[in-house]
Amino acid sequence: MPKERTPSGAGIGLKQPYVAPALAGAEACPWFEVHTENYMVAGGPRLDQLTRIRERYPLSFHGVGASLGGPAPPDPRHLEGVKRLVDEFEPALVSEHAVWSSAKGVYFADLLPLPRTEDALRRLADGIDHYQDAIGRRILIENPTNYLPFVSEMDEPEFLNEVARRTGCGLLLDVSNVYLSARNCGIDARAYIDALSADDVGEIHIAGFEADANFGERLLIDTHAAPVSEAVWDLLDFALAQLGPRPLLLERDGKLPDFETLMEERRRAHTALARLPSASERDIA
Amino acid sequence: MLDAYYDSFSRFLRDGTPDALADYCGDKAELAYLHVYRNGFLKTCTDVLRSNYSSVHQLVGEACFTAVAHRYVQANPPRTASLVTYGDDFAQLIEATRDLHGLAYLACIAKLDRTWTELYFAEDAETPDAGALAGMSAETLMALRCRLAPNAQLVSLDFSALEAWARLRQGALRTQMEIRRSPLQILMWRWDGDILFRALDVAEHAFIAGLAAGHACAEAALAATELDATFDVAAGLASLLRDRMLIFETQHPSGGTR
Repeated sequence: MPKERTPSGAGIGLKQPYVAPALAGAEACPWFEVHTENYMVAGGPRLDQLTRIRERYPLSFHGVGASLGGPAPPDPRHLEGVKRLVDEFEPALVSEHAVWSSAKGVYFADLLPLPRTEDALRRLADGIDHYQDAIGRRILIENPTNYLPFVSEMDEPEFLNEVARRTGCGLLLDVSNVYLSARNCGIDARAYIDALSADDVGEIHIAGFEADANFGERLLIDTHAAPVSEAVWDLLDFALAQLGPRPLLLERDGKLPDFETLMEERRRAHTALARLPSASERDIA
Repeated sequence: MLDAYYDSFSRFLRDGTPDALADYCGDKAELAYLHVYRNGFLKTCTDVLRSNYSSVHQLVGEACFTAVAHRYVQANPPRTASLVTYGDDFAQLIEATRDLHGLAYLACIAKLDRTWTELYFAEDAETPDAGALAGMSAETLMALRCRLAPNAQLVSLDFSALEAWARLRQGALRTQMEIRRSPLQILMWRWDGDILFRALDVAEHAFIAGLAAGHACAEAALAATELDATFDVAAGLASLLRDRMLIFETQHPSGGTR
């Protein structure tokens, strides 16, 4: 396997239908991200496919189920699974979420909100410490989508900056999540991005969203099942202007378009990076 | 305070009652928005079950499948964060919820879907090929003990549902098929990334089941030939080895155990 390469430019989330065209090299895509949990299997074709992807492209592992801010430290068996994959595939980036998802042995299969309190901050930092210690790597932590305001002692950038300071982790800025939190909870999206510790941001995500079936535009859901909206593209431009070039990932997890269509959307992300005055050739890959 | 929050949220996700979370929400009027999380939990689990039991889903349709799946998630929520193989006892729930779907054979279809998933993600084991039998004396062969490799399983069905299931997997079940209550033994295995299967006659099933249970080849062969005197033990063994389905448990003539 080639030496670990830091991703640059605009990559996509690698879903199963995209594996074959990615391996066929039909369209240049500089890197891919996978959900770590989808590869926690004993063997078989899925791991073989990932091996072949990794031989050609930088990879990022994006965890969705470690429950870093949960009532108990992350499940040691889960961490062992992550470590096995990290050791085998040597991903360039490893990331997780500033949320909880498990309690008393039940995995709730969603990114559940944490109240932004000192107590929750300690739990989250403790979970991140466990994770980083287990895999022997620094990870990036993604900001959640907020659907309603919870009683909190600090705002989210403050909460995330502090957890990065305490644990040494980096941040994964999901621009769409910021946009949705702003729309759902009435915060200022640009002020949020401005308040994040720019040096800690190691990756950016963008994705599509949909209006809730019952509440309509009053409640926007982070479904990753639609093209990126114009409002999110605008906010991405703002974020890139503030932060400079970062590995940028286009996520799509539902209502998957064909590979070509997704690549067209990826090219727009590439263009957003390429027009930054500070972007070098390497930054836009 | 935080532990009470986790407890209240967990209860809400299980039973859908958000009232205990009111103290944690900044705006009580927005408490209804919490259903996003419960919907997300149920949707993710249902999506995984739909993917892992695609033949069942095709047979019963979306509304019925969702009703059964939600009942399953309530009774058997995920215990690990990797949902790749979630739903291990879905066939049992299907058997117990015939009132929802009305299909006596549906649990057999679920069992086949389940076996497919387990084999697809099974460990890649080192398995000897048919050449391993070359030069083996009859005595050594008869004393040989094997087991099925992780990429192979026997499946017992109460209904003749294999052909219908195979067509469902290919998206090619377009006409009505008769599915009779009739015991059926199947061998399913993974070969070069594909899942293959075939129905077994009683002798071959007895032979493979004997090997899988850890019996010596001679005992497994005896069980088979009692059912069918013409059963060819060497050919049966060679076939299993050719498709890389066996692991030797006893000393292999070429050296160490495999």
